[in-house]
Amino acid sequence: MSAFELDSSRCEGHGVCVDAAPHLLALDDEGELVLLAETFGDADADAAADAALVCPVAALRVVGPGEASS
Amino acid sequence: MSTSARSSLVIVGAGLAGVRAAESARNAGHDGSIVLVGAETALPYERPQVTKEALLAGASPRHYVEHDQLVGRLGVQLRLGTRATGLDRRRRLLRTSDGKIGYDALVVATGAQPTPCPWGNLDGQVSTVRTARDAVLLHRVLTGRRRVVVVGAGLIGSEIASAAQALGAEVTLVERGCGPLEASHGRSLAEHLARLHRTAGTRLVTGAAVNSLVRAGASVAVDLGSGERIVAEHVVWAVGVRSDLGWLVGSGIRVAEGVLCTTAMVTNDPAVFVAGDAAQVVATDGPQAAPRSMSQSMAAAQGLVAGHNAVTPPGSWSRTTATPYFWSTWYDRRIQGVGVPSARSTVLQEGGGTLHLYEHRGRLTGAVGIDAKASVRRVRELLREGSSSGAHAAREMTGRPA
Repeated sequence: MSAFELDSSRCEGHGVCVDAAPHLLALDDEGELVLLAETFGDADADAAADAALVCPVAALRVVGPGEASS
Repeated sequence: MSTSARSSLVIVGAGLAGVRAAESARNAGHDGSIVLVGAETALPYERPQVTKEALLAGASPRHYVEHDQLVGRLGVQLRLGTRATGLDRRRRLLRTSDGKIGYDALVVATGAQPTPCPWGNLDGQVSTVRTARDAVLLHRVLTGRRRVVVVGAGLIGSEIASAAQALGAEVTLVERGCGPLEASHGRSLAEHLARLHRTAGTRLVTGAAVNSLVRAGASVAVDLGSGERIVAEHVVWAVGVRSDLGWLVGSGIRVAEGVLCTTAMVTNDPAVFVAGDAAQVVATDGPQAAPRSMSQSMAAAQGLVAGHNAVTPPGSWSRTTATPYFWSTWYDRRIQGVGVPSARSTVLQEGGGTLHLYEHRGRLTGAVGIDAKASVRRVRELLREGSSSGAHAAREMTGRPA
């Protein structure tokens, strides 16, 4: 299992990542990014990686199993 | 995934598109070398902040990735302070200001640079803004200056005018159209954005052409086509950008305004890819070239595709499908554009904000929101779902017609 690591000090709620992985990410009514699942499996790995890479402010990262979050 | 055929990836341009290309190549299984060549000496930083927070604070924007992450985790060899000077496609060599670098696949991500002022910089009294260093220098110049002229009320010029105002300058913004973004987004939005400037106390002169810039003692005189002369202590020239692709001349890579590529971000040379502001995507399924969408979010999306495709065989190439998106901040107002504008627009009020919805033949194509975050988010969803009509979108919005 992998997980998203969100840098909320960078996230500005642009929502570009949601387009890449709408089943994993959403914006709430205040425009704050919500992670819909704590972790995700291999089937979602590509969509999750794309979601992290399309973020225009580099607020989102995918951390693999066992990778310490910083 | 086999990457043996593409053992050495060289990325020219260390902005967001370049960084994303490197990350994407690694995600695609590339285990060969990655060399990141950057003209600036700084690590890749948040360029949208150059004319926003960095200019206001007089400090460099944050880095996208730190050195340890780029070099350690991604295994990128950094060649910063190095400028591309030429390309030898036959021998697969990139020429740089610091020697030649061989490649198996190349990603061009050199971005765009401000169009220079035709009258020069008048000993530093006229400036353009692109880099973190430009922002820090301009912050010093603007602080304590009374009269500043900004030429060009596009996103960059408008952000600079807003920052200059916040720093205490008396700002005159000179614009050719009837307001910001008229050429791309039409009159209705341009007039609305013009009001933002005027309400904030910036003097916006529209329908104005600059005839000349001349030194007038310690000041600069800006002569307009109308005959008006504006005297200022500093002028910022923000009349568009262009990609400096002179280094590709004679390489055989097809270039127009930008480097021509398909939606797979590949050029006419299957070993050379392009991403970000330097790219000009040509639709392969029709004669009409897509308009260039130069934005940070496009840089990221195209970098992802270019990096992936540069290290994978053509059969597994991905293509850019990203919805165009930009954002800007003027006088603490948030402006967001999603999708593409078209000739017909509807204006809705949302709380304290406004949404300009664009439709073509009854179909929603995009929107620009001013302090309308929730509606912009909804438009993004409707565009993703597809097939939404403009009228349907308007009904969907919580607001009422303006």
